[in-house]
Amino acid sequence: MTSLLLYRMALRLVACAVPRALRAEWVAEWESELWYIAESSASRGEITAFCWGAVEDARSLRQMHLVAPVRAAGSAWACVGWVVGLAVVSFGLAQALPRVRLASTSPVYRSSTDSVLISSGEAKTGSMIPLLRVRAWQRRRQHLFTEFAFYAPLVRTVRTEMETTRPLALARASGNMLRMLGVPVLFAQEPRGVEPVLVLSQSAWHRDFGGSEAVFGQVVKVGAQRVRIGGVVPDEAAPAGGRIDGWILLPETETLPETTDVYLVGRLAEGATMRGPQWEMTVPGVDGDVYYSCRILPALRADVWRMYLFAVFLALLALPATTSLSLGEYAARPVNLHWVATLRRWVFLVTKIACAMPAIYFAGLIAAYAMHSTSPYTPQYIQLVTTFGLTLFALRWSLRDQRRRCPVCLGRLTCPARVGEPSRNFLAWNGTELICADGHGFLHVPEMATSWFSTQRWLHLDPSWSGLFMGPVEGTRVT
Amino acid sequence: MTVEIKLSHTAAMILQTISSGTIYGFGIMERTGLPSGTVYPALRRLERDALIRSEWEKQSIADKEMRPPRKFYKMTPAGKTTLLAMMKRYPLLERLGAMDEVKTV
Repeated sequence: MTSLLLYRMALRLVACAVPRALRAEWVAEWESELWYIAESSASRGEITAFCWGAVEDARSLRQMHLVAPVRAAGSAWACVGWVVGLAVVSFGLAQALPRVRLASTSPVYRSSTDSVLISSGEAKTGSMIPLLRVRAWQRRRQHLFTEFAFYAPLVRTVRTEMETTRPLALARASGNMLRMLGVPVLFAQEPRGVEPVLVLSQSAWHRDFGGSEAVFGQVVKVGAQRVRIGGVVPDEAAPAGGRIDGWILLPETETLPETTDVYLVGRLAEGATMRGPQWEMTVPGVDGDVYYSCRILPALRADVWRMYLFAVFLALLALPATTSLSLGEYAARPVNLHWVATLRRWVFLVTKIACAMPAIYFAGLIAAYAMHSTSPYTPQYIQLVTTFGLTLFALRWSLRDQRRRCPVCLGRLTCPARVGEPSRNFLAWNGTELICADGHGFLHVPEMATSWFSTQRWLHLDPSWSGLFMGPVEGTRVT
Repeated sequence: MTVEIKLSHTAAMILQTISSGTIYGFGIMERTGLPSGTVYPALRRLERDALIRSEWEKQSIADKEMRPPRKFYKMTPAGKTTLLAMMKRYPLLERLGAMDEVKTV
């Protein structure tokens, strides 16, 4: 009796493989036959063979009913799930990439707006000035500037206890340089000892010091000079451009020879107003007037959020030029959809777009900031173009997807069929007809827009048609 | 216009077995020696092609005899026509012995 129960359970298990519509009938027949086989004093082997035959039955039945019932190609939930998945993946990727993670906080490279890069007037903007002239200027009474800072580039290797780096592009700078420019210093160390502070650039810290936080506070040698590593600044900190791998902030600049050429930065006095961002000026020197060219340094920050919003705004402007904003003319045969169905359609559209926007935001950041760039502006351009393109694509896709969905069940319309011929467009129409797998109606999309049939139309089917759509489609094979 | 249905030898053998009267699945297995995995799908195909029809035994009869109701299969006129055609195709079918015991509904 127990074994018979086991056989019945086995048959029930096998029945799971039988198409649902036939399952109850087959289970009844199997169980009935099983009883008779057991009653006929068949051996256990024969009963097992009978049950094993049920497996063959199920396989055969599946083959006989290969034609699957037409189902909606994509449910609304699956669609939203995919978009949310994309957003989660892009967020995870953005968090996994250090550069992108840093950029997502909208880093400030230089915050100062009253710093002026002062160049020698005889040369082009950004040229260096002999330190002798700078000192002479500093000794004079100042009207326009309240403070000066300067730096002199040099190339040296840095020797740590363990190894020596490649030759680095360093800058010997006055101690107030980074503060005056408003450059944020990460991992800033409290001043200790008498050694000058070496502030590394981000790329040099990662490339030559392995991005290790243990290097901060260490005393290293730059040439013969002992310096203490005291923080990290953005690569874009240098006001005159170019690559600076490290800033040696000198507490005293008197030791620098007067023949040293330096980049000079001055801070404008409060209330000093200039007519433009650039001007030329003359300063009395020891051997006559000296001409200087001045340029106000703009604040430098990567405001990724504003850039994202700007790109989205541009995409919204461009959208009507690339696709129709209409969601489809559903009123060819007026049907009062229940307000819940109408609301659900709109919620679905908004949800799709709302879930796509974070994915675009992080994808734009990844494209712009995953790779190192020598210019602070390059990633911003990349972010602008990427975000614009992705937003336009996402909005177009959202609208097109919405137009190809049943307004009642939100399932994707299936079975596209060409209807009519272009030559008969005068009296009829030609285009594509799609159908809702659940039988809610047809969508007619004209191939050529005419005055009487310009946009797609939804032909609603009332519940009396439901019999055509319910139940599996039977196979049509011949034995 | 009638469409001639081509049957495999196994299906024709099952149809020949059913032709002698009303019969159930296990009986066909016993008489033909075919396994259940062959017999039942073939029965379904024959039924789909309207060569046989099936009906469940009345529950009251089964209850009276304290057993589950059986599903019986019976030949249709179309099945008889097809079987005659199959006899020409498979002459050995005629050698199948007459049924010993046939239950009627």
